[in-house]
Amino acid sequence: MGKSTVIPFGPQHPVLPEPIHLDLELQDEKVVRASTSIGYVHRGLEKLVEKRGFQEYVYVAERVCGICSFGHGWGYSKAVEGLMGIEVPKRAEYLRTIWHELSRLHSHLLWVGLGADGMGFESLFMHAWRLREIILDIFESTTGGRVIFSACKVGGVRRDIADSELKEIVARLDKLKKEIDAMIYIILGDETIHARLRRVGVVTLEDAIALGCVGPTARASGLPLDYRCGDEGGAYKDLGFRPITETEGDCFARCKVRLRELLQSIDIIKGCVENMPAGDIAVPVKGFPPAAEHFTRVEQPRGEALYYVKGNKTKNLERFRLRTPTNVNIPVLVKMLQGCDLADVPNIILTIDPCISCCER
Amino acid sequence: MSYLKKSPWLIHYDGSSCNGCDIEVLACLTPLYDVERFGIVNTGNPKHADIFLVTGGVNTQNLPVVKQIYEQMPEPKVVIAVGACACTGGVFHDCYNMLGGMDKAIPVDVYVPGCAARPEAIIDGVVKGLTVLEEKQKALAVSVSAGKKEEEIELAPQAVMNERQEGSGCSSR
Amino acid sequence: MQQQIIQVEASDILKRTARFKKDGCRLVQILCTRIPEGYELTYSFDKNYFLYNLRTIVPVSGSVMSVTSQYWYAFVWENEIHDLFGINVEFIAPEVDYGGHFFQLARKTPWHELANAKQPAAAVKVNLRSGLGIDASVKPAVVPKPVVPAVKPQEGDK
Repeated sequence: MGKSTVIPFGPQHPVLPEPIHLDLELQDEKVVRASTSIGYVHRGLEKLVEKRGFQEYVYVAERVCGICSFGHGWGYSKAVEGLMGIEVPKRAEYLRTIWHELSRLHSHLLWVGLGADGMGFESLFMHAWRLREIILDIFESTTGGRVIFSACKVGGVRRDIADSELKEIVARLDKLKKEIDAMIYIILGDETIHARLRRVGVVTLEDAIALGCVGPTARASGLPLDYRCGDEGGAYKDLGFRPITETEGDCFARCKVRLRELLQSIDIIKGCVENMPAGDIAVPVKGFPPAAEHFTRVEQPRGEALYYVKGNKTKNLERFRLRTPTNVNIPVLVKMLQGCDLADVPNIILTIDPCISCCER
Repeated sequence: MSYLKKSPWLIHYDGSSCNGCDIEVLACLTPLYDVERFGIVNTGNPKHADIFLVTGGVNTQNLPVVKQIYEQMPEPKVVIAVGACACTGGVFHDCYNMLGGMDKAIPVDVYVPGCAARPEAIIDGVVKGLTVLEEKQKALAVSVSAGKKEEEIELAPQAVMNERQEGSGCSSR
Repeated sequence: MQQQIIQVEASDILKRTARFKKDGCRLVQILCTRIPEGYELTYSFDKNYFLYNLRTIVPVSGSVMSVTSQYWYAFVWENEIHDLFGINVEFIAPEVDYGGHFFQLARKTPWHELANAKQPAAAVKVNLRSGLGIDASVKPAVVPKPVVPAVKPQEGDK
């Protein structure tokens, strides 16, 4: 029976790209209890709707998070379009889907790198981020920006991608797929990674439902929760989509879900390019949002994100609310940390793919 | 940039940013841009670091953390504010929780604009920061040698005792 | 997206939440908006990608029961709305009750003032996708006249 100590973890820590604070109550080297303290990145940007016009606010919504940036721009635009009853052209939907799936690719490759760095596997970190640069090149050639590229706007998208360029994107992704296959082979076969990730941070299906987690964290426990199959419109419905699930619920299962989603995203992008409809990329937006409210959801790389807008017939929206996936995954993290070893804490935190700037807006 | 005698280590902290600039900072370390070939290493310990790469406009909860990291770093140190938020507050300058710009928290030496700041710009900022670091090193060396004479007089009895004990040359300082 | 808003009294929230939990719904979020009558709370539940929203209005001096007894993870939003709006949420599960220290903010309850709320709750119409066949009737809430405390002028936030 050891002594109980409380050590602080974060907000500045080598494995954490973003500040989050945890108080870990330890007994010898086992974590008995964890309590979280967030708020280091709380900017209060939801209140900025009162100062920025509803069309201008897309730029603020995108900057909620740099990794899931396109998804937030899309979710906000979708919410305002639902509020105002704007029907976006099919081509714009498909283009948005392509950019969003590229976002998912880059986000999961980023996660593989950071997760590997957290384990000490630095060469995998460098390799994953090198592959990620291929995606960022695609972003740059289609939109001009690497990380935050403002491609979405209320009413459609701001730029078109020519068909020749779409074919080139598919060619680049085919090359990338071979390298991703090689990387997946390494990760799934490596015994050290198995030793670090298997049976660590287990979340059972009942816990996943009781704690309300979303995204790969939920799908790795067997809960087939993916908003892409619930969305009524958009390219996902046309292409047919099935979520990827695993059953073990440990860190390794979450890793497998994300790796398989990498391959699934490449297939979705190819499907979008093959079935790309011709037409406009945006419709003009006239007038102000009515005095009504609307909810919409987008499946971000980390899970389901909910967007709520409430209009009041003026240029400024009355309320904008963004409920991000990491916001829901924090309670799961707190539960996962109970009973783990101290050396596994960075792995477990990185395994929910924390995006604290999303979480705290 | 003149010839440097030591490779600067940097510490990176996200001071309430959206994370875009942070991933571009990490992209500088990874194969495409690769500052590690210059000997620049990303460390997690503030006491090992020369350069503090900080992103984001500071919010109230983060202010003591940023200050604490800055104070723990040994002299000479350089602070590089990466991104529009760290320079002036960026898109969030009028948010209720933001102080608006990293210079409200700690003294900044180099400002790298951009949203998100491109890795080329960040490397450019780090190179400019290295020039500032050199100047600070020289200034520190001058002030240390100026203060040294007085200290030697004070330490003389100790130095004599050391000589007697070791029977060798001067006490190294 | 398929959605429905159900207007309830503040005292019914816990009962309705328990019923949703028994039906197997997932609590998606808790949302608070400052309106002239007080606070407009929306609890969103999801089942099979259909969003059910419980809507209630709490006066400024009123309080609402915590739903952490049903959905433990709601503590994130309940602490947040307490810190940002100043709404009194009672009986949050003790291990996750931060007591007003969830966020450390530049000024307390920054959302508490009625900065821009022009639209009182009763006039809000629900915007649903056409063809759903579900009509959520939004009855004007019967709220006792709240005693709105005089808002102290804030000394600039910068």
